[in-house]
Amino acid sequence: MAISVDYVVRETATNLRRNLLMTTAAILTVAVSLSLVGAALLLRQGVTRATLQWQGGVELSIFLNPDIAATQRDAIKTQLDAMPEVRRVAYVDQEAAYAEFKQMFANSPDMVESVSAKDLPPSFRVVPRQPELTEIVGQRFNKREGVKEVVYAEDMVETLINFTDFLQNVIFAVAGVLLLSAALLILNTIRMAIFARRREVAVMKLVGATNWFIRVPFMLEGMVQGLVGAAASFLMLVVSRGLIASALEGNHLIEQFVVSSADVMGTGLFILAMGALVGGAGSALAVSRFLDV
Amino acid sequence: MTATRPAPTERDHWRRQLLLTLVAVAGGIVSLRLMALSVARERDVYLVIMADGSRVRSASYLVTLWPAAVALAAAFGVFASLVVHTYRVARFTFRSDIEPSPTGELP
Repeated sequence: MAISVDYVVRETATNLRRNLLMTTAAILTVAVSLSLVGAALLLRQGVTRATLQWQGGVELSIFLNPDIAATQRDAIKTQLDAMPEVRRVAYVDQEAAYAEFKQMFANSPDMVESVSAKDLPPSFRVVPRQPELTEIVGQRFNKREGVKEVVYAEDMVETLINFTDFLQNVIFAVAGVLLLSAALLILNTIRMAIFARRREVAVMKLVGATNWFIRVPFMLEGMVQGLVGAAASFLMLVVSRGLIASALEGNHLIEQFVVSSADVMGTGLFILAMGALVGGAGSALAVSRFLDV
Repeated sequence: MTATRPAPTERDHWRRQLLLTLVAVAGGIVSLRLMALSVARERDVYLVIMADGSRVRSASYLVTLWPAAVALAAAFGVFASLVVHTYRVARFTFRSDIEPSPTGELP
């Protein structure tokens, strides 16, 4: 039995109209579930963006031995000045470091009293032209004579970055599991619709209909449900992003997590593809259990 | 005599899915706020490297990172609940007692 486009479209439209309640339920399930999946993905992008902001534009410090010879120190300064990767370099001697220390620990007078200028090493504060050049610059001075240690700003927020990395992974896992449970529930919804028409399917099989002849309208029905639900969630994400961005304007604490419109568009396209895939594959799997007649 | 709980219906699973979706959204927002709080606190921390190589922080990790730790715990809690829910839905979906007979009738 050949499959005609006209038959498939007519059958799909009839199925959708007949099972209006189930269709609405499936669309709502897809919309809500995919909205959260999209929100989780956007949250992940927001965290990545914020992490990059912490890493970007920060400096590295080249700490020198307190007894470094002036010639060695000047040689390092000359080399740093000549490097095209370096945007800015500043020398902080022990006195300047101590003045900074007193300012930093103004609330801990005991700490300030227990430390003197000779306890703090002199250093060069280096700002590279691009964040990815930081390590290249640091590696050149790591084992240099007179250099005590090279400390990257990234090292200082390493624990925080580890935390955000872990949170990103958990969010991604939540999105994945949520998508799976949504797919299973859609499969159930479509299966219920097919279950209600199991006799019709059996009769069609008995009069010679092929499996694909029966399967395609159901698959298209699932895909339509998945796509409409995904489109609704896409719309929700776009609206929410606009509302959140305007609500957080001026709140520097959370503003850095706000994602761009391009991120929302990319996530939206992914959601649309997922909606079609989940709906189509779910209905194909659901109908296959009723074709073994 | 022991009372047996009725098996959950599809509607029960849907209800739980909706509830968990709302919990996940709320958990995500709370986690984000807590993480942002830790970021703000960590930004205010000064790290000084002494001449002997030791490092002195102006605030301990416990003070700055506890909101991030709570955020992680909350996110992990949501994840664990979702895994259990998905397992239940999968078991419900692939149960064998609704297979049709060869004539399409219920067993």
